Amino acid sequence: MAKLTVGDQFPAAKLNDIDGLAVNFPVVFENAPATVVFFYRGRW
Amino acid sequence: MTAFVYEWERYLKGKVQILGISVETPEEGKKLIERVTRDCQDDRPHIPLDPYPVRLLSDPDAMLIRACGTENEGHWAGTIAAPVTYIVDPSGLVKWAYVSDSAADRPSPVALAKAACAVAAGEPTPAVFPGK
Repeated sequence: MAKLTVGDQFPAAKLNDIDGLAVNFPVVFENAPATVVFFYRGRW
Repeated sequence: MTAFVYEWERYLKGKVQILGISVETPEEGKKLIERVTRDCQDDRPHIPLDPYPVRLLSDPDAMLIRACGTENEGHWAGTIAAPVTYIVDPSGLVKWAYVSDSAADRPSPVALAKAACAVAAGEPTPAVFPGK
């Protein structure tokens, strides 16, 4: 069961997108009035 | 991910950004984008996909996946992400969540898009998860 839930602050982290551009959390959320974050399993 | 592409117009109007996160390499992510784009162009060519609605991020060490508690450590392929979806506001506050253990159990595409657009507009979001 996911620890993060409604009312929580999204954790800080730095990842790269698939084009190699850096994405900083939670700063990236300032780019839009709402953001959908979906986790997917990968490794099909 | 196809559901996000098919609801492209709704997300565009709502100015909603979509971030997909997995342990996959960038190369695998690009292949996924190519597959979904090809399917969309075949099935629904009226959707322009410009700008592309989804940005995929690579979390190969599952750093953020674990920070969110969305890891699945018991998978045969190693640590992967559980199929969890969040809607987050500009301050980084989680406004909506859909937690699942199965890749087959995802929120209704239309309900998710509507909930995201509601958050974007500053309106209340549904208290009950669509589809649950």
